[in-house]
Amino acid sequence: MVQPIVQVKNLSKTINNKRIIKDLSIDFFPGQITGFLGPNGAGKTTTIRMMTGLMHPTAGEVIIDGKSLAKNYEAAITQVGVIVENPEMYKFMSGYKNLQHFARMHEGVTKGRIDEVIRQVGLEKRIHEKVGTYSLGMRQRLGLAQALLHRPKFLILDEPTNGLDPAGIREFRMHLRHIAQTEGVSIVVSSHLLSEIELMCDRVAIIQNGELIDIKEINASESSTYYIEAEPKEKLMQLLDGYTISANENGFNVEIPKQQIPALLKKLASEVEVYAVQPNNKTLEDQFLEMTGGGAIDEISR
Amino acid sequence: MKLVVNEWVKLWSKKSTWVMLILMLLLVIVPAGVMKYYDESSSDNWQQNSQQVIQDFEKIIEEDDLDESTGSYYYETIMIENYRLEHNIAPNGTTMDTFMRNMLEVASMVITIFIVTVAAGIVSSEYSTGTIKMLLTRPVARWKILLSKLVTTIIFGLTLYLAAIILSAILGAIFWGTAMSTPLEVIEGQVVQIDVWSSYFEMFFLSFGSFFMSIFFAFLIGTIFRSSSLAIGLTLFISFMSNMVVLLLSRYEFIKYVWITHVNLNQYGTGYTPMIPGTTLTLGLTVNFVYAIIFLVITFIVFNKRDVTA
Repeated sequence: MVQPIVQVKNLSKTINNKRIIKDLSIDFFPGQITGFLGPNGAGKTTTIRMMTGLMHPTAGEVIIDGKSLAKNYEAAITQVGVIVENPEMYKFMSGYKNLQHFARMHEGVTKGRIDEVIRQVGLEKRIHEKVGTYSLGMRQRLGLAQALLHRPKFLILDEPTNGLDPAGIREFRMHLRHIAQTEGVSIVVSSHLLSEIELMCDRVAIIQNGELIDIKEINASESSTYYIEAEPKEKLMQLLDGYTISANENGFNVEIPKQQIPALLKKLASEVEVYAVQPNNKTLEDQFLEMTGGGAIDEISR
Repeated sequence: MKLVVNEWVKLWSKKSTWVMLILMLLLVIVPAGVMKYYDESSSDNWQQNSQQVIQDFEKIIEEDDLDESTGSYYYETIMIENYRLEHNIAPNGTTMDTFMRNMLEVASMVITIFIVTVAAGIVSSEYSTGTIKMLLTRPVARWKILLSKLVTTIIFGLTLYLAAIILSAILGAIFWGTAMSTPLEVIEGQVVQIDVWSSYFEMFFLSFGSFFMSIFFAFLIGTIFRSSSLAIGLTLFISFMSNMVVLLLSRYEFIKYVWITHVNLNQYGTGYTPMIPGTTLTLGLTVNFVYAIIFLVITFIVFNKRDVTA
């Protein structure tokens, strides 16, 4: 078992007598990208703010690299890189000066490291221009650069692809994967964009009404039904006798273990014209909606 | 401290900071030109003028029924003019030191306004732009960040003072030469010649009262309410209205223990009378000091405890 880099233990937050976060516990492991998913108002941002020390938890604690965030703030937060929502930089300064500014707040970030990070995020050409002139995409890159400066072991990104174009999102995704794999950084990405989480993350933590309702590994194939389309239909129905089937568009959904597919196909091929066989992957979206009940913002219970 | 360097860099990256500095310098340069221009017309026959003043004032004293404070003004003026005639000390037009003194007076007022805008904005602007999140997720305790901002504000204010003083000294020396004036003062019934520089620096250090109290107060409001306009407005309102409020409330005892009574420490300087009789420089300093501590403690506690939601 790998040691978790970050442990969130029984975190609770009460604001104005409303319990925003209820007893939330979760561990984060090196090299793993965790998606933080939840409908708007579920408490994603509040949780992230408590993990970064911006908010003080009402109860519970956050332990980063063995150090309590509340008791040993400076030592704990050293290991964390953060982008909370839009990376807000000082618009009246150049990108480079912004990075210098943040570098001065960490131990041991050299000039060489600043240049290295700039190269990593591909901002060499415009790093000396004022941030005010940057596009949102460039600001996101700069945001990533400042979060990586001090080689954190834990990277927290709140809605990081907000405002990025598809190419930018893709690049961003590759980048995160790269950092997670090569440097063993544990990454948390919060988003309400399901498809994005699905593509980017190794596992998803689903939050609703301040509670962690599920943690799931992504890509573990959950599919056990296959869509089969063939003519004539009547013949197909006969051949599928013994399996649980349901009609779907021009064919049927068949409940069948993966190993049995080749055998079934051989049988089918001699009797009917097979047009299509494909696995019915439940998308994360389906699962998400199933679990959160349509994603509506429930009244926060007292 | 690296954090102070950070704040310093940020401060000077803003155009408004440069505007303040330039305005500050202009406020020294322009009056210098004007005063030099009008200076040429001053008369040379000072003995006659002095005699005239003495005669006029003596007439006033005889004829009018004067209250104590205005009466003493006329008496003292007569004493000083007599002293001049006896010792043959010409009254001075503008000299290097009187010019510097005038400029210091202007500068300390303007610096108070400028420094309040800086103190009010240096914390609240981080909130309004959202950069506070970037600042507070660093391995630096919050109180250090706040302290660095306070220190930077104070250094900036002192820089403005330094710039004004140096420039006024240079211009004064160029326009009026390095000859000093001979200010006379009546102290305990004796005409005394005061040392130019000690009175200059007395004024300089006494202006620190409003300098520091304005910074601390604006810093407090700016941090608590995260709004620079409120902080600027409230601080300047208080510093401009303080005289009136204090006068209105002057018959109550408690006003002695409110800091606005003592913000203007120059009232305790040589040759001035305090607004509230019976107050002394020691009391003023003590009250200011206590309030400064209260302001700072509140500011730091609020900043440390607060959840950042910007």
